[in-house]
Amino acid sequence: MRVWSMIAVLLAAITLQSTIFARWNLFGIMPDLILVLAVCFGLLYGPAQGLRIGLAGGLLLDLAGGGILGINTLTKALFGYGAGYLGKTVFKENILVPVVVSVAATVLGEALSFFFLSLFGWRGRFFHYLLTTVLPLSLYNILPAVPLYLFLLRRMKGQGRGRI
Amino acid sequence: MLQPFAHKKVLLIILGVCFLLITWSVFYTAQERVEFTWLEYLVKLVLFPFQKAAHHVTGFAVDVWETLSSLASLQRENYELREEVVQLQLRLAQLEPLKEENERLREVVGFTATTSLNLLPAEVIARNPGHWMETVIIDKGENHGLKRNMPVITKEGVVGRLFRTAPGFSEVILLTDPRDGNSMSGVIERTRDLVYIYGYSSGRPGHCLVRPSDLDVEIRVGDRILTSGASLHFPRNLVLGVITEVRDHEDVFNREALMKPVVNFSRLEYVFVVRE
Repeated sequence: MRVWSMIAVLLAAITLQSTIFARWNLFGIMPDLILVLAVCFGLLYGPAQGLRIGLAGGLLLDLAGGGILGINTLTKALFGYGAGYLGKTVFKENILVPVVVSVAATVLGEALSFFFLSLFGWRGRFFHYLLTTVLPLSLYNILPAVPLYLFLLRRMKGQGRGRI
Repeated sequence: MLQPFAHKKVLLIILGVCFLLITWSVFYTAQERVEFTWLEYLVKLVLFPFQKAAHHVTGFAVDVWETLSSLASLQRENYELREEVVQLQLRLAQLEPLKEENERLREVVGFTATTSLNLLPAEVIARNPGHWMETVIIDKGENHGLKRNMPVITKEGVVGRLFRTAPGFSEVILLTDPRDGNSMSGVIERTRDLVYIYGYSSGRPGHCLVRPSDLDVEIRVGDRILTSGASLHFPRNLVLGVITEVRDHEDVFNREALMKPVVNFSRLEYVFVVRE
């Protein structure tokens, strides 16, 4: 993916997340489209692409959010890269792959972010956070992850690339 | 050309430098920052027109859908509203003499009349795309005379305050934002006792943490919390929220309660900024 088209896709994802999905939220939670993008690209196109999307997307998300700069950059890059490695070992045509990996990345990413934020005085209880935020977020992330993964898979097959 | 081992070493060094840079950035930006960094401003400036367009498209789609789905009940609702208008007009007529009497008594006692607030309406364009921070972007900024820390309200009650401003838009920090420093004082309507309110989205999204100012302050479920005169930024007696849970603790210094703001932040569309 070229740099400008990657930035355009990431900005479109952040725009959707902060407007349309903010209104169509699930128990006040909107999906994490950047994580979904990083994981899907990582699974299908390998660790380098997952890392690139995660790093750039996380950075843009941090800059658009205006909070602590770096937490999203770090977690999204890490899970994009991790999904890339995982993509080498799994059967990519299985629809359960994006479901399981996006849920696992959401839970682990949120746990890591919780750890970072609690270091900086963020008030919260992890168990409550798990039930009221991470659970709906994991479920909501599946919704965009499956169609996006299938779209990328078809596109990759059409281009004759990848390891299928 | 680099050998595979050297290539891996270079990659590891680059990743290590990136990790250190990000860690430095996390520490550097963890405090409440008064202004946007130039990169943040640039990203927000690029996103703003797209967010505005997406917001209007969504708003239009939701309006059409709601209008279509409510057509059947519209006539009944219209009838009920007409009845309510008549009842409210009657109540208003009854209240008018009371208001005049109140003003006369205030004059006698020497109280100054309550000033009306100078409000600027604004539209909520976007929410914070991350779910850790509870902020929204509104379509009014420094060009409209807005400054940091101005209170933001709706007709239901307090939303938050202006966090950062730019010429064409502003970022509003909601009452529920859990950032260190997002706290204020309030009073219990029933007793006028002072309490402290902190953002607390984790554990109960959309709630605030309330702590009593003194050991003998009693907080009950159902208590309404209002802004206090001691608040630095907010006019007094605006509604903040209602207590939904009281957490007793063996150590009386650690007693706390949860407050649900009266404003529904997940459906926020229009707000008013209170100008000085």
